[in-house]
Amino acid sequence: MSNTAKITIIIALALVLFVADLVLGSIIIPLRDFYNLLSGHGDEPFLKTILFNFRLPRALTAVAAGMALSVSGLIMQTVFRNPLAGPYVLGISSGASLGVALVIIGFQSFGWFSEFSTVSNWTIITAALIGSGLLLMMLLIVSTRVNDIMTILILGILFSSSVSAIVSILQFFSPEGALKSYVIWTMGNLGNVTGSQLSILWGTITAGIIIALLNGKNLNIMLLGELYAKTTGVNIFLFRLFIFIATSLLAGGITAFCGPIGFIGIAVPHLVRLLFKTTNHFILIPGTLFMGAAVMLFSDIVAHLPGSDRILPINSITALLGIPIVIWIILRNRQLSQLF
Amino acid sequence: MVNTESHIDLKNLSVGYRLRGHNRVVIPNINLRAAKGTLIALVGSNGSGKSTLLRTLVGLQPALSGEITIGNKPLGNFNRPELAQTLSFVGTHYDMHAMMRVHQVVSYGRYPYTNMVGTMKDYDRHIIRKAMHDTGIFHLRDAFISEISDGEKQRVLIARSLAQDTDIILLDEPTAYLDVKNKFEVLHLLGRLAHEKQKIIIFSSHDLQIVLGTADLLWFIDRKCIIQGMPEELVLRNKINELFRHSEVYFDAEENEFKINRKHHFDISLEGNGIFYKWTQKALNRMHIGINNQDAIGSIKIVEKQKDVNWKATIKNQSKTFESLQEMIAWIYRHQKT
Repeated sequence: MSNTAKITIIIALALVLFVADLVLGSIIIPLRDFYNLLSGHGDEPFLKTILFNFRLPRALTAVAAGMALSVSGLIMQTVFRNPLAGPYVLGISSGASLGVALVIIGFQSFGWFSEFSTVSNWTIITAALIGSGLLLMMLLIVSTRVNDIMTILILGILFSSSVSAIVSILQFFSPEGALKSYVIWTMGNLGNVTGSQLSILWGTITAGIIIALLNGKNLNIMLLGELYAKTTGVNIFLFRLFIFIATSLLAGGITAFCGPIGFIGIAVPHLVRLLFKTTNHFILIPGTLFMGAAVMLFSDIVAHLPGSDRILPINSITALLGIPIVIWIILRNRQLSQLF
Repeated sequence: MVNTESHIDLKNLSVGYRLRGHNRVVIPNINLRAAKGTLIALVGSNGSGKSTLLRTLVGLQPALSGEITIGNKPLGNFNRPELAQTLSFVGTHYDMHAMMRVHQVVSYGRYPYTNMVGTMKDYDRHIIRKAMHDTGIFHLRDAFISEISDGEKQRVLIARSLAQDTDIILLDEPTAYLDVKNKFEVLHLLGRLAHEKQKIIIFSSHDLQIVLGTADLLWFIDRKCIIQGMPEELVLRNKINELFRHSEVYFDAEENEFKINRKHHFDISLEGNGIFYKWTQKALNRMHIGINNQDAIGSIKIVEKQKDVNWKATIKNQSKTFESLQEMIAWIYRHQKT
């Protein structure tokens, strides 16, 4: 099967899942009503509200999250030449979680906010963006003094571990209500992004994806090693800077708006590499975009347990779906490290 | 190709490292010229500065002082794309991503010439095909890197640098991890490319024996000095042996091979002809038995039959004929003691 055929199938799959995500939920919208609502003939205000005010923004957020996390996972795996790398190896999620923990737990403990409800959505988004941005900036400053990419990887891990330690201290001293709000944030939520936030989210990740695509050539040659990249005319410093920016836009943007969502970013690139049997990023990036969207939409459908009132945390579903994929890939390849 | 009149000049070049403001000079004051159409081997023992010099030539690390010019233009005046179209680098092959296909790796050589998304034009495809033909890997073009041998991987990397279409190719240990046959073939390929395509090809190696028969010119690093010369000339001037001043190893110019000075436990006389004599002598020497007619503890006579060979050993009035060299040497050792 040609790559074009494979991409077409994945896009078709993502489209079907997109419609399914709109239709399925606690209330299942019959396909005829769904069609009527879309074509503007629908006269069911209740269903209309559900569809356009809740499910459509949520599905669009799911698509954005799936695309952004998968592509940033792909470029991190390539840059670090490490199969276990993902969107969060640079410490984006721990940076964001520190920011969010500070506003949810810190402000409430200090009595700046009497109740959690006064911490607005925008405050959380801003806090997460500042947190991840600061951590990434620190890493970038240190990495200008370091040549070896593995050192940067280790520094990223160390930075995020120490940030997590600070978050633990905050959690330890936090009042129960705040703690619960924070823990719920860490479970991820695709349903909180609406209206103008949705356009900002999409703008952010579109910019990230374009930067990733423009670095496709550099990413390709990176797999031959940095020496080859340098002697083929790649400016390593600029390349790293662009990759850092792309990751912070993609993974940072999603984490700010939806909380940390795990495993999609690690699993999807492997799945796509296996499916297309290539290392060419001009094929892998489009592949991961739509595969990521499909997997995320599927996770969202599962999380909403169609037909029931209950919603499961999205982060648990992506983990439960993603881990078997990673295990399957590891067992299939046996020597995963050979691939990098 | 950017320069048509390419030659590399090293003028008063010092290479080494800068550590906390101090210069650690590995090789000072190098003055050399490489002209096109030559295959140059950079040889020297481990730690002599081969890689440091090579990395400096590629522009991966700055020179401590002095100047490198390519076609009279200083290396520092080249911008990145220009340099990538003038000089290409071939590193080690064992670090390659296993899931890349051969033609894909070769096509990366065209990256300095293509647009941001790497669109290949007909001319690029033509060069890529030609590079694969020239290195004898065209039949492998759709194979994964994981499926081909080490020698083939090295050829793929050389093809990639041919696709980069540069006047100068620098290679870091292209013969490392290859078997003898592949070592010869890869170096022969490099020689052919240098001569036919009028390139300057410089490679580092410590396979002196193989290099001596294939390179046009040696850059021979010895005691922080680089001697330049044709390999044959360096052999005749006994320069090769200076590498092994403090070692038991020496280069036998007559036989074009490296030998080890061994202490012999005892001597024996050997009678025989040609190739049988030579290889019997080698085996005896290795087992610490010298060949000498005086003070010999016994004698060996090589008996050539039509296709076979026997050895007749005589020690202290005892004689025995052997079909195996190994058994004979064991027998000699047993009997010289009694």
